[in-house]
Amino acid sequence: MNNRYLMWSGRALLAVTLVFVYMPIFMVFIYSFNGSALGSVWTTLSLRWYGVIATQQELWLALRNSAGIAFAASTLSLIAGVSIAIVISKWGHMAQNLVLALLIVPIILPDICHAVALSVMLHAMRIERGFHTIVAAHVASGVCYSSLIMIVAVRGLDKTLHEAAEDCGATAWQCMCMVTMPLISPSIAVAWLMVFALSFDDFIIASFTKGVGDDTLPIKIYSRMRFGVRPDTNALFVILALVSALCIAGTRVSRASPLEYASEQHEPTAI
Amino acid sequence: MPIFSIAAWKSVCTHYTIAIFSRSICLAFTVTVASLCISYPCAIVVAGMPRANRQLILLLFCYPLLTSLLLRTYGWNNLLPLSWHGTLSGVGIALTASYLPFMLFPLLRSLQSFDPIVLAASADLGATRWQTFCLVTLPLTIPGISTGCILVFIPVLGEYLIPHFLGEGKVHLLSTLIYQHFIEYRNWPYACACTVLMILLSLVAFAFSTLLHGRLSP
Amino acid sequence: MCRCAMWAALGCSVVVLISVVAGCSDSVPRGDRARRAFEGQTLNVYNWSNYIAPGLISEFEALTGARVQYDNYSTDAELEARMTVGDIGYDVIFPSDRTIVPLIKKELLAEIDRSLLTRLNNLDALFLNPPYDPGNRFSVPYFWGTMAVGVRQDIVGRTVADFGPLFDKKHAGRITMLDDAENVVAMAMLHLGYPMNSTDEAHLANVRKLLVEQKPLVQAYTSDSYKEKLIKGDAWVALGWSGDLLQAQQENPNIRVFIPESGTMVFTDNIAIPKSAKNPRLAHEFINFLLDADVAARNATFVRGGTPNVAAKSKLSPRLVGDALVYPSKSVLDKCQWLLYRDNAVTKVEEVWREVQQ
Repeated sequence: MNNRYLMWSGRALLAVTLVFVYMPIFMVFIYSFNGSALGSVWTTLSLRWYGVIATQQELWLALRNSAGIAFAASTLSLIAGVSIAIVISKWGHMAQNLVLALLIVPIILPDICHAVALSVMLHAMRIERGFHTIVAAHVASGVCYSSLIMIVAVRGLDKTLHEAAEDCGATAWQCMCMVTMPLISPSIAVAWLMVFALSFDDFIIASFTKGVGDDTLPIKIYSRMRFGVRPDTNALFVILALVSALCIAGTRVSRASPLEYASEQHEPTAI
Repeated sequence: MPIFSIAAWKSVCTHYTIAIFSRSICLAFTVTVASLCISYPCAIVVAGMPRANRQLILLLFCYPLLTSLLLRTYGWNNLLPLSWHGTLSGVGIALTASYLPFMLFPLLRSLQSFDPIVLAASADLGATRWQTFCLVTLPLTIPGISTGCILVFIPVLGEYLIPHFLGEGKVHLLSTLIYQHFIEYRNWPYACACTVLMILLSLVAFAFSTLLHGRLSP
Repeated sequence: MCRCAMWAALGCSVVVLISVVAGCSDSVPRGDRARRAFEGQTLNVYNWSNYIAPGLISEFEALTGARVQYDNYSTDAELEARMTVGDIGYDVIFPSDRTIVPLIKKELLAEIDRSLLTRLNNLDALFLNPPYDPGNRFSVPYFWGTMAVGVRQDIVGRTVADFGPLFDKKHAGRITMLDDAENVVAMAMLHLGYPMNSTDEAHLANVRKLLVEQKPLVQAYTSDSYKEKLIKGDAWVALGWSGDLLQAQQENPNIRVFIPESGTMVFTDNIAIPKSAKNPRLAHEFINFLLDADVAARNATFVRGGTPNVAAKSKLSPRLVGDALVYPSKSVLDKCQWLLYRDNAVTKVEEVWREVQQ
């Protein structure tokens, strides 16, 4: 009896926690269908704000900027991350740990510290701000995430496969392309998606390193939110959330599920 | 060439800055403890689920992280009653909800990292469920707890958007102070000095967590 | 096989999304070819929020063929700080009278080329040659206004027509104040009957006491969102700018806007061109556009600020011209004060503000 009580109260807590985490998303979702112009007064069901959003040219331009920056940043971070992982896999233990320590430091620092540091550096070096500075800023943090993921992936590789390939007469380049890359491709996908997500949703670093007119989507949303509750922003959120859901669905079916990292192949633990 | 001066550091040592600094640390600590208390039982429940359900639950927790933080904050703006707007508690609740998944994932991982046979062994030796939990499970999950705490404490310390929107000009934390002085007042020396403080604090917290990870775990 | 299909589907959807987004080019609406002299150029404008009638920007873009990048700021401090540091990148800015003084002193503004402005004589001579910019060498007046109080009359009922409702305990938790040191302290000075620009220690001490006592009653310190809060009814009493509050009144007629009979702060916002402007010719074109009587009239009708453009004023509806909030009577205006630039003495004011915010 005690067992069942514990089990059900545990499940209830889990349900409550999920609701707690999802409540703001539900709120925004529901109010995106609100016919009233006042954000928090529910009147009628309507798709009015989706229509308004479609006409907001500046939002779509900002989305294009955001997507472009995120794409560039994640691709560059990935290339750097894979290179770092493969290069240091040949190094000694101490050297590897030193590189790991250096890579971890930017990750543990809050975004605002990166933003301030990058902004001061750009100003000191008299670099003109623009699209490229935001990409560079995102790559600077993104490289650490992608390197760490790739280092873990490369470490997990079976060295004998590599040796077998060399024994079969493959050159170093062929080894890398035909043995290493396919084996670490799930991690490549994870690293790319992670940096993409971080860069797309980043507000603080972008606002510190942007030039005039390169507003990314979070910056545009921020400047709209400053003036108070705006109903059409709810509609935009729902659209973006659906796109994220689509991406997750895509990765779920393939092997490259980030959840494999968290849950692994364990049997349920009876506690 | 910049002129060397310690004027900014002198301003940092004023009561105003120190009050904000300690408020930020207290808030981050409270949010960390709150998310730990909520996530731990949830992690235990999820760890006990069959694999398919577990993956689904994890997916559900992971999904909000992919949606825009700005718009989740916007949702909290609508959700919180008016008397909670502009208060530290309101900001704390929104922060806890946003950073809960970061605490859950490492906890879950560490709960699955040890062989469940030790729990059965503990029960065989006559320990009650509570004793098993305190003396076996908890110590074995210390690495997960310390990772989770660090993954929540440091980002919450540096979080700007939630305190800015839900604080409505009344909640002053280190992150809003840095942003305000950097972007609005353009007092860069002061903002940089505060940033260095934040960096030092993050490093100290990280070192503390690594210590916890290494020394206290069995 | 299924996995390939899913990846293909994902890839396709990404491609579709990108092409849809890429299709939103920043194209400029077609206009009269002969007048599109600035085809392909970009004008970066930095203005207060809600300070230009909707549609005017696209009209200007159609007229000249240029693209306008329009950004907003909410406090004087923000504009001054950005200009001082130097990496601003805007071609046209709208500083207030108080901000222009340090900008001119620090030589951050470019001189206006009168020959490029054909409509300067539309302006009221009263606003030309102001004390903060003798001869209008660096600026052209845009709108003027006052610091006012907005009240939800349907919720609060009749109130005293001065800054009193902002300090009334009956409105606890429903008051919003501006998020700006100088403006809030100036209002407190006016409420206590002191000279608005005073930096006297005794006066500042009393202001500090007043603002600290008020703090638990305040719902939010914001220079942006008080309009929406008043319209929604989250806030019942708001300190703000006459133009913003009157715009809010348009959306919700229950809002009553007033300025104290004993006088309030009066300001003039001006159009200026930073020295670092990349496109000064286009900037002058924009100023000329805004000076056009028709354009200025439409602008004044939306912004609900006082227009210094005489030609435009003659085109305004009599109701607007007769509105005592938009165009206060001379007797009230005589009692209003301008916020002065106080250079280093302003640190005392900022100190008070910091202590209030703690």
